[in-house]
Amino acid sequence: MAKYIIRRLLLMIPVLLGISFLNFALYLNAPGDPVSIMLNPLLLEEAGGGVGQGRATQDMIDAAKERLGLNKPWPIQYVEWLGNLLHGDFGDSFVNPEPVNAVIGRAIWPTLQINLIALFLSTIVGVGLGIIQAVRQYSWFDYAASFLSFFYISMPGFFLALLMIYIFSIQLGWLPPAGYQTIGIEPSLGDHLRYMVLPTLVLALGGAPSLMRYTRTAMLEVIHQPYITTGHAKGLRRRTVIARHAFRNALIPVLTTLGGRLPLLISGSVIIEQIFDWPGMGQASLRATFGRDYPVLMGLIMMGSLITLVAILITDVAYTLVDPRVRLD
Amino acid sequence: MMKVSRWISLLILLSIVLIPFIALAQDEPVIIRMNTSTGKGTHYNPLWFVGTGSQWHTFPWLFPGLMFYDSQSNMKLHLAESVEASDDATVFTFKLPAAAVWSDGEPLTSADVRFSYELLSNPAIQDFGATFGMGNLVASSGITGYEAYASGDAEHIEGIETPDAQTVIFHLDKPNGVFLRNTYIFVMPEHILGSVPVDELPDNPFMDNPNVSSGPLLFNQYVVDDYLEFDVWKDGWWPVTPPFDKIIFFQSEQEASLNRMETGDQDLHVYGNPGQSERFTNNAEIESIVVPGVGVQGLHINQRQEMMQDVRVRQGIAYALDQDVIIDFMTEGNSTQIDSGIYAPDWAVATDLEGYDFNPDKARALFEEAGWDFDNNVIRYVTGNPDTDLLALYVQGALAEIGVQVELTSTAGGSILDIYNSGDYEMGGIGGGSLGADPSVAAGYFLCQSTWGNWDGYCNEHFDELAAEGTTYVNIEDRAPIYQEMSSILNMDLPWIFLHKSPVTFQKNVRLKGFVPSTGLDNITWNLPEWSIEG
Repeated sequence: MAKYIIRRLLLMIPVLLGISFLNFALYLNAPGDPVSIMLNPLLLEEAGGGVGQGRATQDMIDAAKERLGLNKPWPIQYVEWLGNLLHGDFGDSFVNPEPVNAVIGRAIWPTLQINLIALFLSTIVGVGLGIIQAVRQYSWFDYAASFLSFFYISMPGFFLALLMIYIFSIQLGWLPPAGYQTIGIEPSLGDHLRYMVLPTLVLALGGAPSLMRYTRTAMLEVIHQPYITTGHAKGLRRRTVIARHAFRNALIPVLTTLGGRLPLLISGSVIIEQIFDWPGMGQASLRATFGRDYPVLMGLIMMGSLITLVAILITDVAYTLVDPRVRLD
Repeated sequence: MMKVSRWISLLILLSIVLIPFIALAQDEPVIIRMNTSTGKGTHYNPLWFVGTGSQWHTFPWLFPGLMFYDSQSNMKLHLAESVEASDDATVFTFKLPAAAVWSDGEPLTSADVRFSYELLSNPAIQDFGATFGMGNLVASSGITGYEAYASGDAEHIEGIETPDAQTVIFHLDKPNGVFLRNTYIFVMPEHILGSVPVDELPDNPFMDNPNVSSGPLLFNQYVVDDYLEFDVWKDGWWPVTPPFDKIIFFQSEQEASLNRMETGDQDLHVYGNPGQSERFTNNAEIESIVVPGVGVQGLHINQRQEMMQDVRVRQGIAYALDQDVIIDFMTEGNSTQIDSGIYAPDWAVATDLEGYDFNPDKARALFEEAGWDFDNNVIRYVTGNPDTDLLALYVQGALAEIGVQVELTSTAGGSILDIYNSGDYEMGGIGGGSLGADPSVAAGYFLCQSTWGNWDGYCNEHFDELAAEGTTYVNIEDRAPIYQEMSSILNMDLPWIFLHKSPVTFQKNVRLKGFVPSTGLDNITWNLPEWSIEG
């Protein structure tokens, strides 16, 4: 197992290098450049003071490019960027004078907070209800849960978010519609938790239904297997048969789904964070995209890629833990 | 034993009942919350002023300049308590209040004003991209000795005289009747920054933590792309102490800001559009305010492209567009048509301007007269701003009706400057600014050497001569005929297709009192110390 994990970790290196190159190539060929964004032509209106002496000249553009290192040949830019990356340095933001690490460091915790809790809730609810659905197939509970899961799967996240805001913030006034905490007062956990409820709930409701469907389907496949019947025939308690024999064997597809969600813990949800004005990774990505803040964008992409690769590895290793038949050699 | 447990239970019960009341009895700070623009700029400091909303809305109250805008974008005294102009508009004398101090107790004097002007003019500082906005302002003021100072040949700007701690005198090379429009330059503390070598300024903590200020606000914190928080300087020297404790500026997107308004978590929403008012029609707590703005909506035309050089082509475009329709879909009817780049104030606008009323036949005829090649000529319209994409589609459709082909070229925002510099376009949308604040501001867009003029290639030397002459007068009676003639020139030349004034929309919670809407987006907080929260 250890050998396998080391081999997979080593394999990640060329994959990440390839991603870094593609990432850089995309940046080079993206429309627009950060200097255009920085030198907003309309700001010269007053600067001209009515006598038209605005200075957004090519000289200024060139000077800004030199300052940002954008005037060097692209292979040199790439090698420099990669070299810094190997030292854990994603470079400095084009837009704000701070390291990309600081941008990520600021945004990662808010994203982790809501996504970890949402993942936990959606797993508990999704897997739990999926098991009950399978065990009580074609019961009213099964139909009701299926209806709800299809309802939430087909409802776009942004719509659910707006609906939640409309009900719980605007109509009932129970929860704040946006933000991370109440600004201007002494921060408190209780206050912060109020802000967390809606985005977390929306993320959880978005994740639970598919887990529910996967679990139900996987469980249905397993509980009709002869060894489950044998378990019942041997007089084992129903709960033991379901939990120890059926569920464990049904876990593989569920793990695959969960593994696919792990990167979201870090990369965040652009739309949900935007709607709830949640200062996380999703919002950082969006602002970096619109601001042509390529160092931030590339840092976020590299980080997302790394987490995705690690998540896949974790999922593969987890398979062996739940199903001894799976061997990774 | 029973008695003791009863007492304990009673105490717990009382605590549960009383705690909320005790908490409520504590003084809650009075906080005003509003949204502002996203984006920080390089540093949160006037040295790196690039004109973002979050800078415009806060700097005047941290580092007040000599003058600032009123609600109509006219200049009014701000830090200075008086100003006198010489008859020939070459000498301007400002008096500072004797009581003015920085928040660390140091006196604010004329030396700080001079220091700020010189710091912003320092050529070394521009090497690292600072002073882009403010530096240009000083440069364009025509202060005697500016050039010598900016080129490193003089130790001070000769034309800034500080005979005593409360007096600043500006001497100009030539008459400049609009000099006062440039005097909102934010005054910075010499005792904090004066000893910092210029090349170390970008790394100086003060650049992002301006914890010494002179206005009625004190910087508290700035969480980038999230919010800015300021405390009111309760025992400060500013003549009007704001009757609230804090003000928060959210750097949030429109939807989040509107949601906060709806739940009462925000007091003022800016940067909206007239269409958003409908959302609050039935909300008694929210008042929607739409005022005619000093900004403009138009189409700028690249006259470096041969096909756009014939004025009949530009006039043809103007006749092909139904202004009423455009005003309806872009402003919900909350605007008025304009026919020239100089469209306000009324005294500056000629009364006999061509209205370019919607007339597709005349439009087609003008294109034909100009020898337009309807089969091969394609107008490339630069899009990329979501706010004006609908306008691009309308223009494309309207010109198609008269047989003129328009191709929409998306820039996705970022590369717009590259496209303008390359000249590979014929037309694009343009909006905002403060052209209506003063005709001299508007004129700056259409000079042969102006930034936009350079890109679009419009040049009318007579217009430039008039513009130069216009700035030499102070009195409206002298200025009016000059600017009226200039408005006529723009009306006939159509360097842009002038469409309408940009309306400015606000949503305000009724508990916010004292707020007076501004006609521009930069001076929204023009009377901030008079704002209050009631109820």
